[in-house]
Amino acid sequence: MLGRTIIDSSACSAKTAGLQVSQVRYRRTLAYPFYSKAGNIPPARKGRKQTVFKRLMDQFLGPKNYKGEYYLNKYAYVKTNHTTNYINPRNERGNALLESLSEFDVGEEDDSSSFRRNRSENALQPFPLNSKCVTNLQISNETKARIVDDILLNKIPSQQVALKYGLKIQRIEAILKLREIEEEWEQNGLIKGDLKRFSNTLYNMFPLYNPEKHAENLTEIPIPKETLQSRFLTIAESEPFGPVDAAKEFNLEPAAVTLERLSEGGEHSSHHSNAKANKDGSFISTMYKGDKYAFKFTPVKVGNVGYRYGKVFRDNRKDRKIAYDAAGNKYYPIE
Amino acid sequence: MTRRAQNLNSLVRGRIRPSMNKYNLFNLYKKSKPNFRIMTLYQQKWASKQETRAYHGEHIKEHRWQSLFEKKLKGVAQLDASLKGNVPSTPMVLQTFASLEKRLDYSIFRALFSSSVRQAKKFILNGHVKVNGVIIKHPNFNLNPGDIFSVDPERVLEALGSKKPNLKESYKIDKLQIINWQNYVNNVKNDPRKIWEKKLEKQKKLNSLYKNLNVNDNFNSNNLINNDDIERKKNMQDYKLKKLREIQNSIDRKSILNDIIKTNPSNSIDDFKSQFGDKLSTKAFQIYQLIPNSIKNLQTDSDLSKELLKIIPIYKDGKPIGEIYDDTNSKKIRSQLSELHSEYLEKIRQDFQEKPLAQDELIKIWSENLKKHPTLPPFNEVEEKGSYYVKLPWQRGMFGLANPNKSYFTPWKPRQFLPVFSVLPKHLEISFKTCHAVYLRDPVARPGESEVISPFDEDIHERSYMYYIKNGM
Repeated sequence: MLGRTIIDSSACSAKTAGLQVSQVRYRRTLAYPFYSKAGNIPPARKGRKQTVFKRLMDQFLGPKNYKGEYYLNKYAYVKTNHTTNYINPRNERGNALLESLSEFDVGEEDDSSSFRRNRSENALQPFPLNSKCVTNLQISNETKARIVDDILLNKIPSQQVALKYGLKIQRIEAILKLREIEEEWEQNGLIKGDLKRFSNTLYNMFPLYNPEKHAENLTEIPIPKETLQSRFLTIAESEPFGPVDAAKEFNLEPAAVTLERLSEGGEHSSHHSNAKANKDGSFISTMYKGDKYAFKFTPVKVGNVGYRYGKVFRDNRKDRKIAYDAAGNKYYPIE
Repeated sequence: MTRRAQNLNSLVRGRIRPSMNKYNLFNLYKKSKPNFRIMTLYQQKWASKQETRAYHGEHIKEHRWQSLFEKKLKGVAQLDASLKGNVPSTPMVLQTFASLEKRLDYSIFRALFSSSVRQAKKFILNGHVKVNGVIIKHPNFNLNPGDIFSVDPERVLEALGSKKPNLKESYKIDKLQIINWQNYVNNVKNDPRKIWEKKLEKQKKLNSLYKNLNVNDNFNSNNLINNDDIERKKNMQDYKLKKLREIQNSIDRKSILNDIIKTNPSNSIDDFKSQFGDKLSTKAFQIYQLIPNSIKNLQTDSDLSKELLKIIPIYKDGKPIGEIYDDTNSKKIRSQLSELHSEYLEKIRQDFQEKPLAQDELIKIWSENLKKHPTLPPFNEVEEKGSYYVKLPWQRGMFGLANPNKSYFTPWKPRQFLPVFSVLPKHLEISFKTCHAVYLRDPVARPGESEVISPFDEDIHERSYMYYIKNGM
């Protein structure tokens, strides 16, 4: 249960009837902490009238100093040594203070230490309930500088750099883009004072990426929609059947081809040519003497642009489809 | 339209929200898994939907969300999986709310440029957000892979910084600090050694308590410790220099000669070593040998000083006053003495630089340099003027209002409990220096991991997904 029910009388009647599910129309469960025992109501903050939940929260947060900081709570301050400081309620059971407030508080410390799990194992897991969610690692300033040097100075194609540092190509391209902005800001003297302090604080609180230890998997391809369902095929026992045959059966290209295609993208890849190709087939017409404007022609399909005669036009529909043009203005595309 | 924000952080309801609020922190901390065993299937789906929707797209109304929901979940396969063997399963159901992560407001919150999604939405609507250099005013703008978005750094500093106190709060805190400071200075003047030792002990304790934590350098429970190291070191340097000058001024040729005669060595250099060191002692001894015995054997100090005046006279307008010895021996003594004098001064300077200060001296300097702070004017005067003067060793200007024009605590410090909520996303690349970020791709699920940041596990997401695909409802 999420907490204890407040309608004890009805729960009791359900229990006496031997039912697991209490037969009530609306059951409001109160979100008591999983670690608190029934009847454990901490004292209220000095001179205040507080609800039980507020008292439990104050017990967790700990005392405030005169500046209004929860100076004893271990999650209150950021770390400075590139480590995370995520919550670990399963071991602490509500005692999140850096030092116990009085000698009476240390009672539960001993029995919890017996099943204390090693926090360093899942130091990257921010939420205690979701083990499938981990924080990303930050690329150190030195590694970033080396990547930029490799690509811009040494002219190494981004695929090779991706392999060298174990980072996906999109991330490397993004690092280059952001580096450009950072350099521009630095030249204009915009990174200073509080902004510098802020960026240093955040840089120091995230763990750093180590290419040898945490290399990303570079062989990832999106799972094709077709392969999410099973398909049955009758073949002879002696007939060989491998992944390439399976791809053929699904009408898909082999995964190796997909992976190669994915790695071609990017401004700094070896496949990138400087001649800008007009993929959409648009062209600007030549100007002749006396012409006031140059016209751009873009091939479009009838129906994809403008209003098609006879199409249902429900502009009062709720939750219509929304699109944005290049200037960031919203419009409702005709569906 | 946005959903109405009503009692979002209720401790009784205990929902987890996309926010860095401290109430939300406690709700996250105390959360337990719902007990599905005692629920019917529909109850399970409903409870899961409630929990997950409270975090994912909380500000979006249900009907709008259902139009955004994508049945098809995005995952990636790893081609080298067959080489590794024993690959964990891919948590596809954690992608249930992945379509929300494309939204501009969610991306800003994930990039740690705002403290909640609702705040990110406000930033967008107020025109503080740009996508590829264009101001976008629509929170549900969907980002494409490769888009660069940025938020005004002032807004980011406001979102992730501590709350700016108002004048009254600042005044109250500063008044308390100054009262404590005056008491502290009084105590130090009374018994410097005791307070010094206490201070060291306290510093040691705090260092071990807040190891690797970014506690502002001015932090300590009653703020009595002078942490301004640079200032203190400067003070000590000043003191050292002052003392050095005093000593150097007291030394001239006559005093050196006096010292040499007074030392009265028994025909060896060693007796000069204690004062002049190894190098200069030979020179001193040579001078001693040049001095005639008549002067050496003088008994009274007054006679000696008279004789010394004859060797090294006081000059006035380029001419010596009174009688002087003008023989070659005296001239030799004079030239050697001036050499020794300059070298001796150099030696004293070097000694001062190398020699650390003794603890007594340190305490003395420290206690002498502590000065009381002028008392603050009454609040009604401060209110009229809008500011007041504060200069404490750990704080310049009013508390949190060093620059009152900014909308955040100045000098900037991170808000409390920031580390709990700071999760670096895998689908964004962020530059905190410039408050820019690049949207790399839509978040995906891969074996053993999901890129969608969520506090709930697969069980809950699975039931929630079941609720929205509406099979068998």
